[in-house]
Amino acid sequence: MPVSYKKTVAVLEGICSVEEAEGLLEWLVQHPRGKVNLKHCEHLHSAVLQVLMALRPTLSAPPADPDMAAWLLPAINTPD
Amino acid sequence: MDPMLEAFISESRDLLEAAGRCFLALEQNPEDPEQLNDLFRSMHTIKGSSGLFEIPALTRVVHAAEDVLDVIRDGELRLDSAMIDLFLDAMDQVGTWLDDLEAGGSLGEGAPEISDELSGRLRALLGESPEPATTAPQPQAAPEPESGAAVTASPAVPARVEAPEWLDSVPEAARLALYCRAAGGEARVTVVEYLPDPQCFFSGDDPLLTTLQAPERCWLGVDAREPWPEIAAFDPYQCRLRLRLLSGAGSEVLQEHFRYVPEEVSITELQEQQLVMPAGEPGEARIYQGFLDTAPGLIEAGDWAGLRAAIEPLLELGAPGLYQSSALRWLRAVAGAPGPDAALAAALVGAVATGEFALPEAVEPAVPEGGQPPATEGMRGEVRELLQAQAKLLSLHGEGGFPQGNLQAVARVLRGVLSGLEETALLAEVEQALSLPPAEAATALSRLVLGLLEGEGDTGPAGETEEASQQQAEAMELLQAQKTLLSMPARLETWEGILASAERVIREVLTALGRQDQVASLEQAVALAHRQHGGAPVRELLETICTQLTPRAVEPERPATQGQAPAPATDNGGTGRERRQASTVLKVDQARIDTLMDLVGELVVAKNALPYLARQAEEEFECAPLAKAIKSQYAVINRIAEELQAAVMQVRMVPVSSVFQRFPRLVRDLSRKLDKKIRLVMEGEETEIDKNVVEDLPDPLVHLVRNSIDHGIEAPGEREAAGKPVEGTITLRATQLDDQVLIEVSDDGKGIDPEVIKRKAYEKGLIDEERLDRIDDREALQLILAPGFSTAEQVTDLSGRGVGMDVVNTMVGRIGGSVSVESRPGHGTTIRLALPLSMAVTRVMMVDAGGDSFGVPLEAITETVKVPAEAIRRVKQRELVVLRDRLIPLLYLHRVLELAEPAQPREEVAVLVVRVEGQELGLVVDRFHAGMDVILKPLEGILGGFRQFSGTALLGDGRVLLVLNLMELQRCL
Repeated sequence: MPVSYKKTVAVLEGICSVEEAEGLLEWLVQHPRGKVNLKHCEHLHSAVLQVLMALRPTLSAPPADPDMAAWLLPAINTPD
Repeated sequence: MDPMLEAFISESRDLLEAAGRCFLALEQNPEDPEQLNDLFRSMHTIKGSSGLFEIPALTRVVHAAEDVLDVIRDGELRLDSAMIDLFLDAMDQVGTWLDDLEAGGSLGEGAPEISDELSGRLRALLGESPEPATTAPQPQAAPEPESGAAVTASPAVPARVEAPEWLDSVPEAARLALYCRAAGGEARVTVVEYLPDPQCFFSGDDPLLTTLQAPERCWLGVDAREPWPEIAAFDPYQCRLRLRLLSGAGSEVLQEHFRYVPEEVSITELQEQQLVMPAGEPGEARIYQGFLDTAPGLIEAGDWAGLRAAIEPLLELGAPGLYQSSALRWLRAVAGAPGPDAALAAALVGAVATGEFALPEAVEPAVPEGGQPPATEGMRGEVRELLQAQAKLLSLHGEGGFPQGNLQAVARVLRGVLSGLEETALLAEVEQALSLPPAEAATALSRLVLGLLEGEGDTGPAGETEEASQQQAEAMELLQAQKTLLSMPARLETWEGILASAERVIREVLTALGRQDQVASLEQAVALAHRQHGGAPVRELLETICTQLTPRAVEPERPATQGQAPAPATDNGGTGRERRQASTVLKVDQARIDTLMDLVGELVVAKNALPYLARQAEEEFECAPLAKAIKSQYAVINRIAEELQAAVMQVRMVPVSSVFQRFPRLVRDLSRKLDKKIRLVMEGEETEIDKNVVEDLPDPLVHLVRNSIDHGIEAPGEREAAGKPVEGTITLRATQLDDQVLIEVSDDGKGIDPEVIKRKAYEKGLIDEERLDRIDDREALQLILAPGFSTAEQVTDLSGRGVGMDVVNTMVGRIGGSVSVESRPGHGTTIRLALPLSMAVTRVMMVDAGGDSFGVPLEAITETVKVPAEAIRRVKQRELVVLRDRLIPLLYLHRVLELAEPAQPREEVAVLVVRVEGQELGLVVDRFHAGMDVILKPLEGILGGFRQFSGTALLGDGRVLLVLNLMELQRCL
């Protein structure tokens, strides 16, 4: 299961496929202060990334992979 | 196979055929607007649908053809025979690819190369026209490395193109690192902007992954191309990302990487100097003063190490966020590169001093793409044309279908034009428009172009009134384009987009014409069209607007406008009708029809059992009322079965035009090759014939037509000498005669000399001396059909008429037809094929002989007579009978088949006169029965060896009827 939803944190692990986008969106809508843990995330599908970019949840942990962090963090933090 | 691909292939084949016909018609009348429109539409449709599959090579060729046709349609280029040759070649290639696709699911070997060659040749026709600009550097035009010639020609120093403005958002570190590598020749500099199709997730794309996997990625930036909507309206499956990539790979490598989304990416290869963009807070200038004094000297002396040494302490001193520090970091990188760029270094030193940096002129002069000299009077027309072409291009595409590549192409042309006109302010507008999503960008650009056209017209050489009418004519053209667009069949999902873009364009046109009053009615019509899901309301409005425009647009030098005005009415109605018709046409797999036909066959057999049952009821069970009831029921079932059979046969009927349509092309090509002038006349193309027959028809017909062209029609000189018109005529004629279809191939060539045929046949041992004396000219001609008659060396002796004629004969025979030849030396030859209307059900006559029943195909029977025994004459070994002054040889069926002799000699013999291969033959039988429909099955297995029978049929009472093979029987004479 690439996404596990805890009480306040959604943990994204491994490769998050396109199917996760809807679930994550729903969870974030229901938990407006919910955080996202990307520490062990290896890849996000574009759709999942869009959810993060549009809802901009707080990251409880950035991706461990420096390459991923390099492009992902600015994307999520860019003010639109 | 993927059903979508299957549909694409069959649809495209139809369109190609239609296109072929159009080209041939255009060869006669190169400016026929209707044909040109049809042609353009065909190409457009093929191009559009081909985009659904991974066949960029095919798409490119069709796209090129479409672009050229567009220019031709505008009257800017004239179609000539050489061009038609090229187009036909291209169409052939597309046809071959379709075959490949059908067979293997992919285009054949070498498709990209062939595609490049063909589309290159097609685009070369455009010559000075604006479109070539779209080919070379455009991403979708060059997905293969080898075709990126424009770039690879000078990989080290690509012509400098403007860097995208977002390049400065790439962190300096990433740019610096790439600069160092690129300056050292280890990398190239390419920027990619990727705007994925909003629906791309549904086709399984992950644009992010695609971009992440791009070769030599240095930096990736992801953002939203428009602000995110409210959470409630946010759809995660609608892709709104914008991906930007800085890569150390060359543009051709990236084009290959993004080959599946060529229209969604713009790939630009830059020079490494363009990465140099110092940025930061301006700092105190004083600490750099000493450096500024020494640096120019160091650069001039080429002391790069010294320069670097001078930079280091300053970098330690100044805060890293300062502009000067940034400039110095760049300077250090420039100085550290092998063979440093002195001009660039000097500019950077200037940047440290002034806080402003300007990239020095490129060492290699950029390709003067936009570098036209300032506009002069003489150039105005050209500029106008360019702009008009752009406006047309922009107006032609629906919202959903507007490819990014086209936008780029338009923008490129506009840039060139604008810098030529020194309209720098507008240049910025172009760039701004480009940053919008494609649909909006298209609108913005077309607004710009329309604005330009208006402004340009004001200062143009044209007088004011002329200018106004010119504008009207253009408006007309735009409106017509919208109308075409609206009348094209569209899929539901693109329909809205098409309508919206049409509305926009019409609104623009109305505003431009000062007819704002009609905008309201436009809105009404659009709303109505939305509800109806049909373009009719808007088309009607367009019609009104056009008619209002026409009387004022009286321009003798532009007759096209007037000519077009009435045409759309019919054209429009035509397509509308077609569309309604199309929805009632079903395409069905032939196998299903065949199954239906088999079932009908079984029904016929089962039905035929009823009369036997009736007889049984009457004779065995002595129940006459039941027999009567069965008989009357039989009549009903019989009628229904016959109607059913006719209906199914009707489904299988195909007009012969489907066979004929290839001949105009064949005749054209061959006559051009042989330098003969030949006119092809086709008659009766609407005659219908069974699908199975049609399928076997092309080969023999091609053979015959080719023979006529090659050997029948003489060379023009020869014809002139013989007092014939220089242009030879070949006539293909189809007519229906009862349950047969006659197809004639006739030419007015030199004909065949029967004497030569007779002699040759005798020499070949096909006829004996007796026959040689007896044979008449008509019969002699039929000899060329005999197997073994034709061999290669006789081709010349007999004007080649024997070539493969026996093959034709066999093929036609196999589908149940026959061939006959007529010829008059010096006047021409006619070869006639008589074909059965349908192969499924054969009508046979049942005859009794020697106690058994046999079937004889009804089409071979000429008459049935009873002849008194004494009328039979004997000539040597042969019995003959004279019927209406004809001598008919007799053949006793029971003797040939070795059956029992009749018990007592007959006073009267029943003779079935049949015609076999042009000769009459009397078959002596015991009794005639009625004719009946049977499903003829070929003999198989051990029965296959019995050549005297052509097949078997099942009778209603369960008996098997053997059907005679008359050709074989005739040999027993």
